[in-house]
Amino acid sequence: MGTFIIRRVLVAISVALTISVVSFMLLHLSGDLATSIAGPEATAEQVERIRVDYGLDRPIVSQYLDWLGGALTFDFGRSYYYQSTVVDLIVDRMPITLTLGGLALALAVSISIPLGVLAALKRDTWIDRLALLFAVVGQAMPSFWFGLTLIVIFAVTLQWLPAAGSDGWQHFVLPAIALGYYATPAMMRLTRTGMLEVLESDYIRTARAKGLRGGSVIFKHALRNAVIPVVALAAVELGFMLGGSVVIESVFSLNGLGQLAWDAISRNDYPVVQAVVLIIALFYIVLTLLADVANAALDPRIRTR
Amino acid sequence: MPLLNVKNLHVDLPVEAGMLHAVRGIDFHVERGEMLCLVGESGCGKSMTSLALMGLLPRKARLSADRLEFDGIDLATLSERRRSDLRGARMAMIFQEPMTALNPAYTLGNQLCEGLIRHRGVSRREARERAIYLLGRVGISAAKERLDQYPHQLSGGLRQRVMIAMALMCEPDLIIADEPTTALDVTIQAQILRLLRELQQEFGTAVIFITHDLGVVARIADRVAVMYAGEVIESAPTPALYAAPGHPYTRGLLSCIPTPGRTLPGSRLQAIPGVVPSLVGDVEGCAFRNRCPQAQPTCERTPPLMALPDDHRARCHYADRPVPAPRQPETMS
Repeated sequence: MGTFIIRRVLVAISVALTISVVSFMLLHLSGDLATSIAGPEATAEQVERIRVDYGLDRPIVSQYLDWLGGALTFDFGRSYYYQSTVVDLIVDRMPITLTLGGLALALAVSISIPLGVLAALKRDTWIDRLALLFAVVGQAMPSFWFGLTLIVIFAVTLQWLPAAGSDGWQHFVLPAIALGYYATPAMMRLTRTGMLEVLESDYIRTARAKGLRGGSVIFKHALRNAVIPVVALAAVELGFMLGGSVVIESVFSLNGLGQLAWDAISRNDYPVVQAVVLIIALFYIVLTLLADVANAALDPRIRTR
Repeated sequence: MPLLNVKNLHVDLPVEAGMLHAVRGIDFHVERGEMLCLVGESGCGKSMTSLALMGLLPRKARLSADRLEFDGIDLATLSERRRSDLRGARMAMIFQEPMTALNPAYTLGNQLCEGLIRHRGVSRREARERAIYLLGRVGISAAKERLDQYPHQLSGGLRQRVMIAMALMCEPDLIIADEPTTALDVTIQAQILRLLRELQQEFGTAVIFITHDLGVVARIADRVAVMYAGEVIESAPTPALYAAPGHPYTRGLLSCIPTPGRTLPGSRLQAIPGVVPSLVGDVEGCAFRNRCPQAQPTCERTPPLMALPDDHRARCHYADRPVPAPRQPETMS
């Protein structure tokens, strides 16, 4: 298990480095940064001054190494737009995104796994069909529309929960439901398929032949094997929710990372864009690593290979 | 009273083409401490019979029987809950595929112990002690260390030994072994076979041994029942069956077995021509007649189970009398 984790960590570090190189190069090769920072009305002289001030006249490799050196000490420079450092901005916005993503995932897992197990056990009955309907609706409905519907029902009509802001836990209920519902169908269907497959397997027959009770057969012997692929999917879904919840964040006016990235892109605030891209990539890398470790804990064939 | 008494057992499976009659009214019994060998080719209903006994039939399957008694308990009407109290405790099963019959996610110790803990309520430590003892008895060295290993760390032969130990955990009265050696190498097969026979005699457990091999395997049994197309077509004490097989199918099976020293090198191996009839829908007359070398017009009628000397029975019109002289060539179709 120890060498397994070390190997995975080394892979994760090299992936992070690769992503930082690629994103840095893409951003700097996408056009002349000095021109776009200076804006359409700037004179050639002003553009040149910005180019020198921001160090954009130096070779791209040395710019990258400078940036990487800073990034390794959590120094991503200053925002061009806000009067604060990039790190302060991120530290300010991150808790909102993490809270939203964490709640949404917790909700999605606690609905999708029991529902998937139930649908598999009641295969081809009305319960199974209802679960399928729930999944199809979740996959088909755009999340912004579902978010707006929630606001209309629970914030405007019933006035149970606030529609916007991020001051207390109440503010996270509706966005977490909107985002969580989006992540539920895929996990539920994967759980259902996995359970159906595992329930047909020889070792489930062995467990029943031992006279084990139904709960022990389903939860100890079947579910443990059926959720292995679901763990990997949940990690990807969480990565997506942490990095890509721009839509939900703007519907509910939550100032999270997604909103920050969106604003930074539209304002040509490149240090912020660069840092957010790296942070989101790191989320994915860490989550994949955790999923690999969790899979190895669930499946001994992986860890002793 | 026999330990297991089965009368007129039917198992039907709905399939797309209609109703598949997998088991068509079989009778047999197993005495305490006896080894009964159930022989037949694939699809003859032998595995369905064993699953019916264990109460592990597929959900869609339908079972009926005039009598299905285990130690005086009527299995056909038993609730699933009471049934699961018997499974693993008083009747255990060993499966054909040792590679997939163990759960990859749990240690051998965990899987060996859980049945005993469930049925006898013993502590984990006591269960582990019994598991270590039984692993030793089935010929696994370093049993204590093995308990913490996972199935994928063991070879097929070792896993099958683990399955045997698992079946013995609660000291069952009956073990059903469904082709436990088929997936193994020939040398390992012989070891496992010998082991099963030894343990069966040592613990006095009754065993139903299911196989398609009338050659080596069936010879270790006390009695043999031959199945064909969902029926028991012949049953007898082992010596009587081999001395004077009463059914042409049994004779066919026996002539298929090459004998070292007697089968000449390069000579053709015997085979029974034709295929097993479809069991979807009703089967009229003798199910074997389309493959039988001595089939007669009489065989259009369903043959009764004829009683022969020595507790020997065969389902053939001609089991106890000679077949009439061959018909004239022009009347043959």
